[in-house]
Amino acid sequence: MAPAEAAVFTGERRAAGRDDAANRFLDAIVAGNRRRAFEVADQAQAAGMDIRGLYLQVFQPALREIGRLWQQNRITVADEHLATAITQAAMARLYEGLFASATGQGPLLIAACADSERHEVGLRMVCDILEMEGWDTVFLGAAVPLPDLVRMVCDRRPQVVALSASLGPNLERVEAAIRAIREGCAEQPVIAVGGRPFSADPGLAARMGADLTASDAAEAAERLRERFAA
Amino acid sequence: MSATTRAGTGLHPALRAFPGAVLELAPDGVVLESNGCLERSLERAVAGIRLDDLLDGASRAKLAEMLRRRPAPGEPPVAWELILEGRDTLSAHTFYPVWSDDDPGGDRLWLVESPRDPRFGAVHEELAAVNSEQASTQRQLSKEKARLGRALDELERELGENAQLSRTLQQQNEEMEAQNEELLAMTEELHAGQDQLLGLNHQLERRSRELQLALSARNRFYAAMSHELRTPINAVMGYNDLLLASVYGSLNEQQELAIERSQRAAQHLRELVNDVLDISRLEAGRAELQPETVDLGALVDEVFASLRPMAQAMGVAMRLSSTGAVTVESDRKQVRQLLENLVSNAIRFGAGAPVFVRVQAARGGGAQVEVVDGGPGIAPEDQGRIFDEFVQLARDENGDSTGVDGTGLGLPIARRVARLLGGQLDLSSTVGVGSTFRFTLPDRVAGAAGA
Repeated sequence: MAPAEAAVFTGERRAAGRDDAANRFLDAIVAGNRRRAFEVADQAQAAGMDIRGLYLQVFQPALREIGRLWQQNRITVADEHLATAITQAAMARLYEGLFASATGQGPLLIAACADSERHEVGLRMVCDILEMEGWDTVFLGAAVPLPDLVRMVCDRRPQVVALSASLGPNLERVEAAIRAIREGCAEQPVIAVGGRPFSADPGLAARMGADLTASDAAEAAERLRERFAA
Repeated sequence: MSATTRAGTGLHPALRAFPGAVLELAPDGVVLESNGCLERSLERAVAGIRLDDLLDGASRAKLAEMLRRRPAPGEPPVAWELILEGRDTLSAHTFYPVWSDDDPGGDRLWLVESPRDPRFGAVHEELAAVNSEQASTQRQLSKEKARLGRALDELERELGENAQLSRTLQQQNEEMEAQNEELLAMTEELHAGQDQLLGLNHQLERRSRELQLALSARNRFYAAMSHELRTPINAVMGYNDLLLASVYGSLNEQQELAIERSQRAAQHLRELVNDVLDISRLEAGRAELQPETVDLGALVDEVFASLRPMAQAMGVAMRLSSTGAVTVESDRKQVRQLLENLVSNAIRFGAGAPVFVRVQAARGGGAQVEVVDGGPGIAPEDQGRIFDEFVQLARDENGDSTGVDGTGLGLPIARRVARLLGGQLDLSSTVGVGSTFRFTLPDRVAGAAGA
């Protein structure tokens, strides 16, 4: 996508009153400009925004906007991949600071993504935000073999297992994982699910045997916090 | 809607060999014709079904938009990306929509795929995987680093605490050692002090024993000597009496004077010996008390009577003042001796002034007797030693010149007697005014004797 075209979207979003840093970050990732995206994140941090703010007010809205742009046929899958990859890299740059301030003393959460790697960013965000709030999180990423996941859940006995699927055909894998954990582990964790199909169909999570679901990282963190508030 | 009732217009032969997918869609989205390309890619049948059924949710909206929008003539074609679900896969395909409105069967939408190198998608997936791997590794590394950092901090803190503890322990140890040394020194000192005390104790005991021995020896000596002395004194006095009674012939004046002097000296000697005997008896605790009812006023009169010759000789008047009859249960002989002792002293040292004796019942029971003289008085510094044995103030100070005589044992004996009777003998005196000797007696003396 040509930079000139991205600027047009930027104009629309500004009219909608979106956050300036989020707009500039979106411009950068739509343009595939990794360096500028990092600069925007650095500047926002220098201006006093914390890591949680970057996640919830910059990365998350920008990625949501990326999905919308694809649906509007304004960017291609390739653009989307690139934007997601840049956002992942921007998040990775914050890890040093994120974990330095995290205590990791809270509940344990194990997260696995049923899709391929390019859809894991949402679940990664949930993990990172909870980590900031004192949880201990293990992010297993995409395509974890099911027996490995079950063995890990049985061994480490997390309070929460979070599973995500963005594409319809992958729902089966989520369902199989829930079933395997329910049948295979003595100590039952809370199972949380998320991803586009669950947002589109509010009853789906319960039907699949999950305990809770949320439409984005902030809501997921909120729900889990409520559930585990001592 | 069934595919059997509908038919495509038939693909142009050129499109059959096209490297990308070519689909002919009815306006409702049903696939009428396919060039077979998509079937190979998705591994499923395509013709005769709604294209919607092959699409990922988000793509359905896009297809609906493609079917709805008819670009104006001359408008440059826009490519649309759709995600198609295969048997096990999801893949993106980019289509150019081309409308034909001259078909006899109605409007048709041709979707012509913009062909893409299949490696393109694979590269994308690979890149995404690498990217994800990198982010995950970075995440894990940062987490481990933070954990290690915290563990290191903890270790450092513990080390610091240990060092602090070690220092504290060392310090306490040193303090305890110092205290120990101090204690040892103190113990040694104590031992030394104890030894010294033991030594002193032994010495004291020895002295005490020696003193006891000396005292009892002295008393035995006094008693023996007094007896031995009294016999010859009695003989001397007896012969003096016989001489003075002219049994051995009449004496001339000079001889008589000499014998009288000898007689007075012998009398004095006998008094001295008697007093010494009294003292030794009192000290040896051999004085035995015989309690009876004693009327003190009557007793004073008796004492006055016996001392009257001496008082008259010295021109001293004696007066008794008494508040009624005062009686006590006591040893009459001892009380009389006490009174005689004090009254004769008052006569002797009273410088010719009258002697008053006041007898009264004491406030807490018993009696109090005061013997008052108008003598020169006793200086405060001498009042303590007047009760010591063989102390005679007048003689000490004035030699033998006053002419008063005494043994120097009277007051010591009097005080011992007063104590023996359960009372007390005290003195109050003002120089130039006179002295008052005051003794008390309990209303009932203890039956047993004791010095």
